[in-house]
Amino acid sequence: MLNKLIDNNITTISFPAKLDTKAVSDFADELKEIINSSEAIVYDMKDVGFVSSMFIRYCISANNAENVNSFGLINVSPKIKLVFKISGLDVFVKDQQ
Amino acid sequence: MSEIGAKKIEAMMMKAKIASAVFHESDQEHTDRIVRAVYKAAFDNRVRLAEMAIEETGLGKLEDKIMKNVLASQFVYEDIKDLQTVGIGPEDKKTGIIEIYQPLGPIFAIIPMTNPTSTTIFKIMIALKTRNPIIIHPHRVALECTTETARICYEAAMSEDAPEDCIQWGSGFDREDTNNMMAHKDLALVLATGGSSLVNAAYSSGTPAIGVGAGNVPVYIERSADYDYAVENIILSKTFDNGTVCASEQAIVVEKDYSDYIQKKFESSKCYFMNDDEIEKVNKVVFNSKKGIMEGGIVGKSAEYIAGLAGISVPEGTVLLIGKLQNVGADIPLSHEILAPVIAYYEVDDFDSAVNKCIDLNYHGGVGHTVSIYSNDDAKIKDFSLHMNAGRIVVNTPSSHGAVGGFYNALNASLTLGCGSGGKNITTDNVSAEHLLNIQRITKKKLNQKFFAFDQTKYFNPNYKSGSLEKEFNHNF
Repeated sequence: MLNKLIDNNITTISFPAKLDTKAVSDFADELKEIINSSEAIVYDMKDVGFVSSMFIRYCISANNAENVNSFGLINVSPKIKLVFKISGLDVFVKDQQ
Repeated sequence: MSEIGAKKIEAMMMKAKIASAVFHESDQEHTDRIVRAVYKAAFDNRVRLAEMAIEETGLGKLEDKIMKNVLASQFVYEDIKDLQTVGIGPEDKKTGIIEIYQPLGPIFAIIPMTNPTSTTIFKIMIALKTRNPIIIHPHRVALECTTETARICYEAAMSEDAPEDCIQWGSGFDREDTNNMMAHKDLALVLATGGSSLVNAAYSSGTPAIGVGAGNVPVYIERSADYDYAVENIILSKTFDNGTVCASEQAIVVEKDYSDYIQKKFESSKCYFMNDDEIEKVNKVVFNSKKGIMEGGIVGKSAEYIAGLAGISVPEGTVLLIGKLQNVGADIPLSHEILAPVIAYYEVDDFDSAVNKCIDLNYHGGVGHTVSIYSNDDAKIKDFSLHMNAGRIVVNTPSSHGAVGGFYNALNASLTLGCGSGGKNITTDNVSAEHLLNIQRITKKKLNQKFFAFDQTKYFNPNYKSGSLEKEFNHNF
């Protein structure tokens, strides 16, 4: 069960530390439902220390969903920031000052 | 119509090819005598050549141009003088491999306007040490000082019976000539230092090339750093030759709770923090927003000159203009590489935010080049370094001086800084003589005992899987 907070039409989702393929598969349906029913989505990466390709695909899905007007990642550690930088998807990382 | 023309290029390449063949006959002792003669001549002319460079290009500072010539002659010589670059090396008893050091062949060396005399000395030194003839391509803005440097080196080389035409130089290569030269079938290597379009052309020529990527060096003053020391050294580095070194700092990153102290230290050291209006004015003169790169006209100019050009008033004697920024990006001029005494300044919350900011800066036009950190916390230094894509992570060191080696660390003294795959380069090394060799290897018979003790027929039986075979392969070893 993902930790979800809705405030001012912005849905903020917190994730567990390890977002490997298995972990993401376990909450994939729930995540899809959130993506399909939200206008603005924030992934809070505060506790996350590992992301899989599958998780990145769900970032792309959220960003590309027609119903989603804004999407971003916050509280990203340097290790995860580097993953998004190398993949060319660091535009999702919103906690730049 | 090209200025030099196909016939002249053909003639130069023919001479280089003959020089290459003759050079092949030189032994180590003769080669070293030639290199020593070139080093001495270049060193003895370090001041005059620096004066010529300043007068001709109008870039940089005399004392710093002299020091660059010292680096390119004395420090490079000290670095390479004992390197074996000729003949048969010692046998590695463990592997049974013997190396043979062979030259590459003719090298075409493209020289930038920012470091014309020093880069010419450097490239000639490492080429001759490896018995490679070299053809110098001067920048049009630095034609006289570059050709004079090449002439002095050539005269010195010839005094030790170097092969005729082992150093040649052109005096009017246009783009067509340059492309024809780089693509010549007899050319062995392009040593390209210059603008990105020229370096890309070198890579596209079909000839092996060692180029350099652009820099955009962040410097993080970490919490445990000696702040006074850090500020002093950043100023020393960023104002060295008025910022023309591509490894010079481009953005300072500090944490908010000690930023005031750092700012005051900079301000009391003849550095000027610009307000937002002043940053806007400076943006317009240092950055060409249409091309997305710094304005060529401000490269190597002083802080006061740039302030005057921008129409902002700064205290007399100001050595560095600093702009506080929030973000990094294509539309934020001071977050780009500016080879002049103008630098960005970022305040962040904590270590992680600082590293994230440095990642942004590092990847914003400076991948693979150099980053800098001031810190007395080894764990933080290593953590920071792991997240950077840089051939050189210089620690508690002025970045301009640290990256080029020789002065502050044991890196090769070099004016060609490899940037790895991120900078589209083949190496992250400080390029030197060792990169200009064809190394042949004599490999004596040395049986793979595991392989010969193993029942090789099992490879052909599909029922044997990797787990059991691996165990058997390593059995009794």
